[in-house]
Amino acid sequence: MHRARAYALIGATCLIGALAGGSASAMAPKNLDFSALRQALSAPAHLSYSGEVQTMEVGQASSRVAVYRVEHRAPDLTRRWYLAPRSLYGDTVIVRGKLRYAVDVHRNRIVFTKRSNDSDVTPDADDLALMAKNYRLVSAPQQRLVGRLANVLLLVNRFTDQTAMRVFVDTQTHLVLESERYGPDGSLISSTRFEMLRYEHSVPKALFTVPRGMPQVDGPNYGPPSPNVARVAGHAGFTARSPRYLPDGFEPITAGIASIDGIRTLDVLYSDGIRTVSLYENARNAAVDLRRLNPRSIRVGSHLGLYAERGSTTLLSWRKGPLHLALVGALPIDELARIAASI
Amino acid sequence: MNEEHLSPEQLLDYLRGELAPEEDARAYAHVAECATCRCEQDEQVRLSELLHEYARQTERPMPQGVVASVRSVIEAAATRPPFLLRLRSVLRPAFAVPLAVAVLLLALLVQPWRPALAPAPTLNATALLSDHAAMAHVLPFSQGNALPSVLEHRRLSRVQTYTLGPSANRIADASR
Repeated sequence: MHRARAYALIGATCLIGALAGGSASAMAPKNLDFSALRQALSAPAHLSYSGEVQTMEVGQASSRVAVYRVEHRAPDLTRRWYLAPRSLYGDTVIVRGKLRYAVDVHRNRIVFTKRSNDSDVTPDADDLALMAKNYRLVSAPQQRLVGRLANVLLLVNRFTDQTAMRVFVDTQTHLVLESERYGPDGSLISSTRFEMLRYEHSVPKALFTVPRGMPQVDGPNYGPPSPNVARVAGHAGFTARSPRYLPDGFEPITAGIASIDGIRTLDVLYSDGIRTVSLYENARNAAVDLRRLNPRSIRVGSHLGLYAERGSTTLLSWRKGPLHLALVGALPIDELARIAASI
Repeated sequence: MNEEHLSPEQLLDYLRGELAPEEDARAYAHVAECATCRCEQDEQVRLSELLHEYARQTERPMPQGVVASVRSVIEAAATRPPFLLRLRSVLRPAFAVPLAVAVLLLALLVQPWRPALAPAPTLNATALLSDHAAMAHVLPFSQGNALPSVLEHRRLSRVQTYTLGPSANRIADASR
């Protein structure tokens, strides 16, 4: 009898322990591999859909919102028709693979840009390597968006343990329904989300026809930048500077030499896989004209700089010796100033 | 007044305090914000100081006979002396030296041989913001600009990237 009670007690203890352990593991955030994000990146290549999208950038001084209708025909035809803001109402962007046509009905022109890649249509799963190096992918409870069940994926910074991005992925089609970015204080700094979505068996090709009868002008020409930052800096024509301090996980990604408004400018993109900051340098005594952005002054080491915000992006400009420098990124101004002071 | 930069005349008037109060206030505010005009102002102040210093060093006491000479010239003018005589009196050192100094100072101030000061070039802030957004597109889930810059802004910034050879990894292979 005593033995039977003892067995029952042990059994009950084991059962309670198993239940407790099970619930504990269920509550702990689950680290995922990045295959879910790879699927999400490649989803538009084999999905056609139409819908309405809202993008938003939240800044300290100002916020920017755009709403557009979107039609996408797999693998690489996309058309966006802008509903808001009012200044863009009726304008259209048509992406045909590597070619982008911005139909500007207000100025009766089509701005043509050629890209060697476009994030809307040709995602590249290998590009997740840097993100995986600096971020953990954690699943959160599923949510329902635009009538679809979505897996919620959090990208948590490995150095700060702060969530930098939240991605809502359709459980069935793997299309990204919404993505949100967060600042270091946890505040939302930008989001892109479907307000309406309908998957289509086929979207007519005619929707992606570029209108005729409007003059076509060449837009900015973004050629492929080089990964060899040192080599590009060597072609700058002046002794380029680089930061001695960068936030944890940041590293140089690409560099290029561009002629911006006729000024030969070296630009280097630094990133940790999600957050980015660009450094621009020129030796032509060309300061950045910030007058339209209500600039404010800030001390950069022993120099005085000016900074301004547009949406969630901050631009910091200053002069050091013969160089004019600028940092652009969605980082707090004190972080930008710290990077600038190390240059 | 030119909204962009002060003209040399305006700058000189501003330095001499000869502008009307409203113009003076506008010039003061402009010079405070405009590196080009501030640089020009510094240059004019430096030049002015240089000239004053030169004038001070070369200043000599008025010769005793100058007044008498002037009177004699006036009296002689009444009797219409010959041209050569008048020229000789003008070319006397007491007149020739100050005259030469005055001409030199005027030439240094005006600097007719110097080309007009070109306005310093500037970079369009919007071009940098758009370029950064375009560069960041190499990263997955980059959202870039909420508003397409080529539609948002009236002016198209001229961004032309020089290609420096083939890329070596996949991230860099992506476009800007």
